[in-house]
Amino acid sequence: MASEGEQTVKLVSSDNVEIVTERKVAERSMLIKNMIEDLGAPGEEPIPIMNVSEAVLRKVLEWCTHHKNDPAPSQDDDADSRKKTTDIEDWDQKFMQVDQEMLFEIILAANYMDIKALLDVGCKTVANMIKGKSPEEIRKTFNIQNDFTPEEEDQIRRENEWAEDR
Amino acid sequence: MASTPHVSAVQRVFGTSELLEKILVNLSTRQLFGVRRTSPTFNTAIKDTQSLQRAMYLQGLGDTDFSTNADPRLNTLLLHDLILYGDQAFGIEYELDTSESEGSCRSNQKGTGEKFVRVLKIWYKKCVAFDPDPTTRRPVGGGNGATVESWRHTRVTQASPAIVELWTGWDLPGEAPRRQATFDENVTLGDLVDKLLSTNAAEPEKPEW
Repeated sequence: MASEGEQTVKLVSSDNVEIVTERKVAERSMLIKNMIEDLGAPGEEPIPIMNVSEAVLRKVLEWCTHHKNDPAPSQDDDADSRKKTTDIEDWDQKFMQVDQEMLFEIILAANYMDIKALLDVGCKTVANMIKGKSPEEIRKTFNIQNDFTPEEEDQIRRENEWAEDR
Repeated sequence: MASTPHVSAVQRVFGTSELLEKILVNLSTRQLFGVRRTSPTFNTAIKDTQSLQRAMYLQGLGDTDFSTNADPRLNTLLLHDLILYGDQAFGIEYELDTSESEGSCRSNQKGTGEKFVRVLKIWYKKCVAFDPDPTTRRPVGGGNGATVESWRHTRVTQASPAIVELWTGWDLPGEAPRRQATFDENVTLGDLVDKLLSTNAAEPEKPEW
């Protein structure tokens, strides 16, 4: 019988493509890890990843492969949600150099598959895209519709103009 | 059957409050105020999310134990602008409540009170229509229909209780050249600025703006 490190698992994307990967890689996802534990027979039963397309799943697995030997996140990592550092390591920065739709698909997939470290990197990447931009520039960058009434926007502008000046 | 309109991944992420929070929490205090105007979704997330309200110094930190926390939280709007405009040495002293744990008293960098006063006044000038006369000063607090500028609501500190010393930087008759005020966590930056400016009448020489 293969050791846990050599075991493979079959994942099935939302567009019904089967992808075989190392169990250790797949278990960066807490969703998959829990499913494997529940199923009890890794490798035999395909694991459906309902909300993630093949292209996104392959990208997520690329990240998981690079980070498969990272230490498991501790509870303390979750505790301070006010951490302000948006430093991203070089490999992750390059990994996130994808088109905008893919970047946000990765965030959604990381959230669904419960991969906290990847979710953090994705969110920091978006935060870095927001930094230093005016509300108008943010809307333009992400194609966000301005649904404020002119009165509402004017009120918020007057309250927060001091924060927009630099 | 009508087809469902395509919702982009960007829309789905920004439309999920937990994900928007995870993105926005990486922004600076100042920028969190600045991006409220992006869209009603951003505005609501910033107004209704506890972690962001705390990051903006609009809420305290609950039951955080500051006797062991090595990073007592002093309003970063204050620190940022002090550092930006002045030297890194500034006349504000920040202490923890030491009633139970002697020796845990901690102070940030010290400098001349004059610098602190000057820098804070510059900061104030940038933020509001400055009027040195408190009797005619524009009621930034919202009276007479004036806009309540959001920085005024931010808390001076999230440590409670904490002592913030205001150094006037000049001698007052019969008094030490500093004033000490004890602020609890509910005292706002607006309160601090008003208190500091209320000392202006005793200032013999007005610093250059």
